[in-house]
Amino acid sequence: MRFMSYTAVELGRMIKEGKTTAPEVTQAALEAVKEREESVHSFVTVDGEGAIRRAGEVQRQIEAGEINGPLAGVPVALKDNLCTKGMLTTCSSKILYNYIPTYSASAVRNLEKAGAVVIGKTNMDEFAMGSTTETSAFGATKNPWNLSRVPGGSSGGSCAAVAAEEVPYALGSDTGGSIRQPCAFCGVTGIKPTYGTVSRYGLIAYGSSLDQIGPIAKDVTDCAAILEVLAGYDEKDSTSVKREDTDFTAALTDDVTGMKIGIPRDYFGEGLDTEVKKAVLAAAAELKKKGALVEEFDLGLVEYAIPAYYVIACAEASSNLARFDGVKYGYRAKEYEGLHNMYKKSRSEGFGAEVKRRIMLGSFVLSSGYYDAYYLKALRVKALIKKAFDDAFSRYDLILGPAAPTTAPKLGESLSDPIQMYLGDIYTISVNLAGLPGISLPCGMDADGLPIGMQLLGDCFQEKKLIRAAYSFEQTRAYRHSPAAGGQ
Amino acid sequence: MNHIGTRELATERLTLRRFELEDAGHMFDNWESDPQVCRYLTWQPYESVEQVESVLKEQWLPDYAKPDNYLWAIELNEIEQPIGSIAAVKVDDDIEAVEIGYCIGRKFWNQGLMTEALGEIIRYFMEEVGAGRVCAEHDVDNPASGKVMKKCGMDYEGTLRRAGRNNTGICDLAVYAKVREEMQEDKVQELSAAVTKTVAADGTMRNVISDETMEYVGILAKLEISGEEAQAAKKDMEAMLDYIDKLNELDTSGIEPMSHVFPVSNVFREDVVTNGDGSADTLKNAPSRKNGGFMVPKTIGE
Repeated sequence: MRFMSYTAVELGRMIKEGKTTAPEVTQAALEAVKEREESVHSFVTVDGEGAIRRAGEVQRQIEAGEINGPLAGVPVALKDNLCTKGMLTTCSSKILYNYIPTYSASAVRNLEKAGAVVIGKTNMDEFAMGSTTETSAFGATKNPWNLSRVPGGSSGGSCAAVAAEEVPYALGSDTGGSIRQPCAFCGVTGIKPTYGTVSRYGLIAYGSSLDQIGPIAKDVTDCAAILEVLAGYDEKDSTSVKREDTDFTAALTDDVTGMKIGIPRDYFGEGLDTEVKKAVLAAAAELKKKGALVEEFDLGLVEYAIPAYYVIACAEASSNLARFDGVKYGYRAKEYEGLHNMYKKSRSEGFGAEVKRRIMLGSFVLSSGYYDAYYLKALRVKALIKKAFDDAFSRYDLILGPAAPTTAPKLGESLSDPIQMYLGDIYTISVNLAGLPGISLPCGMDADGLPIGMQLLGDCFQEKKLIRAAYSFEQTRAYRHSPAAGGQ
Repeated sequence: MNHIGTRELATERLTLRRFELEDAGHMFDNWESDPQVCRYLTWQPYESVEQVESVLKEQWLPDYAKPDNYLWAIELNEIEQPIGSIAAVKVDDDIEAVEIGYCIGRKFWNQGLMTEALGEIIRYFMEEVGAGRVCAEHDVDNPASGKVMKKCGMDYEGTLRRAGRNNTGICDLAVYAKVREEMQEDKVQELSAAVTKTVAADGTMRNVISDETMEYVGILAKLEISGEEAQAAKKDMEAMLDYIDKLNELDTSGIEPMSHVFPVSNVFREDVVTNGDGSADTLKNAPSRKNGGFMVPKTIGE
């Protein structure tokens, strides 16, 4: 039985009904990993033994009736910036090449309480800084649809692992589009929840005011079920939000009647690939056919989101990454003179070029004399962007647009021009600045046989509207399996 | 420490150099014969130029052969004469400490000249010799000397009672010192970021970052990048700033900076241990550990 071609919820049901067992499904995942890793390279760490052992325990708990959620016994892969107790956690960086956390992230603990079986950690752009997974210190991940293409990033390993059907689902993190863009490139579905919905405790921070953990899976149903497990107030994250409406699976209804969907004209201008444009507008037409009220509008300020984002994210990164100094964990330079030189050398040798670039920029925009001109200016622009969205959501339930301007670029083409690479985040980044939820799901294929992704954005705490509309759209289109997973 | 002896140094108005036999006359005239200059010193005023000459010949000049001998003539460029001396009166290799002593002719007091000389000597010992501590002492009855130390950024550490003898008898000594860590902090404060805007050929504004700014950012970021990498980083940062300047097209006057989308407040809990003792596992991650602690390079008394 090709277990890995099923969704997480389907597998959970099959385990519950006794048609298979957690160890059997876990074994299937490990076999898929063994078969596909060499070509796709989604993983940094695979813990086969631990997964089999854990699957046995979960199976006993399921049989004893101790756990019965929809994900019980289903294997999962975690982005390698999520701390996992006793399991290597590297952020795909040399500076954390040997770091074994002493605790697990709250999101991981929530999954484990629901009976998840962690099989390993997925590759990513180093410290989540990048859009292609090529900045990983452990080599690039390949796109399961075409091995000469990037999977997107920074959660490229998680998205590729799902698309290559090495695991039924994975967790990613999204600071500027890092779940939604690679989902689009890999033809899978992912949600970036409202800021504060999923605890960031144990997520190795990049831009703390922007980071959110979210699910990546084959369909909207999985994503809703996973998010339901992940969400919850956590006193260990001071930005965690108390909210009651986290029964996301209740929103899985095929009904968009009367739903008002705005299409920002600003998202369909220069720079957008014509095939992507066509596919996303076709998706809008589908939703209209199903009874949604779809209209174009001007969102405004779109071109200011990226510069504001890079100031804010890099500022926060320069502070967050100050902790990597070669003292308590991770890489320490072999040769140095004195303490300060040890810090400098460990950091300079341990971080890759993109990470250093962002730390430098962040240190600069926070330095005295430039703090107001750059950092505070960016925070003011962030307030304006938030207001533009507030205005939009006073008129529309949802915003629909592309997840990325193009389909997946070729490997090795993006890193030479950072600004050009940053421009690829134009449709995803403002969502993080405004704290909004967004869902990315496949809506077509281009002439090269690469998936096209669309994105639905909602107002804060309106994940259910996103899920409902995405689920409805999904009913019009069958899931396509990637070539790496044996699909067409 | 890396002893390199008395090397010539230059400041705005002074040249700090080795003494020469020909200096005897100016030395005698400018300070060595003046009882008021010598009041708080440990030697008596000289009575003749010949006496100065013989000290130079027999002691000071031969001593320059020793690599850890540090004795400078302070020459005022304007008159091309030595006007005082500054020296390391004690060198302790074990703790990498140097004690400085100095004197200057009365005519040259209160012009900031000794501050200029001492400042340069502190820098020389810290940066070139590799001293971890540069200190100086003065008779508490001679507060003018303490002012020089303070101006050079040395911190008052305390007073040693009945701890010295000079031409006034047994005296209390005030101790001032500067240590390596402070020197590094000062360096950060001295440097600052500087970016200039220039107009490019196509009429657009471009940011130009100086090498010093990159060095400063490197200190802030605790990153050591050099050569090609540094040039690439500079180019990238200039391009990013050009791009970020786009934000200036927006009028944000009257807009409050928004750090978080939702209001955030501190979350408190009782100060009780909830996660048990994980120290063994925590220490397993340490690159270097000893006796239940994290090992770092020696930072005090290196």
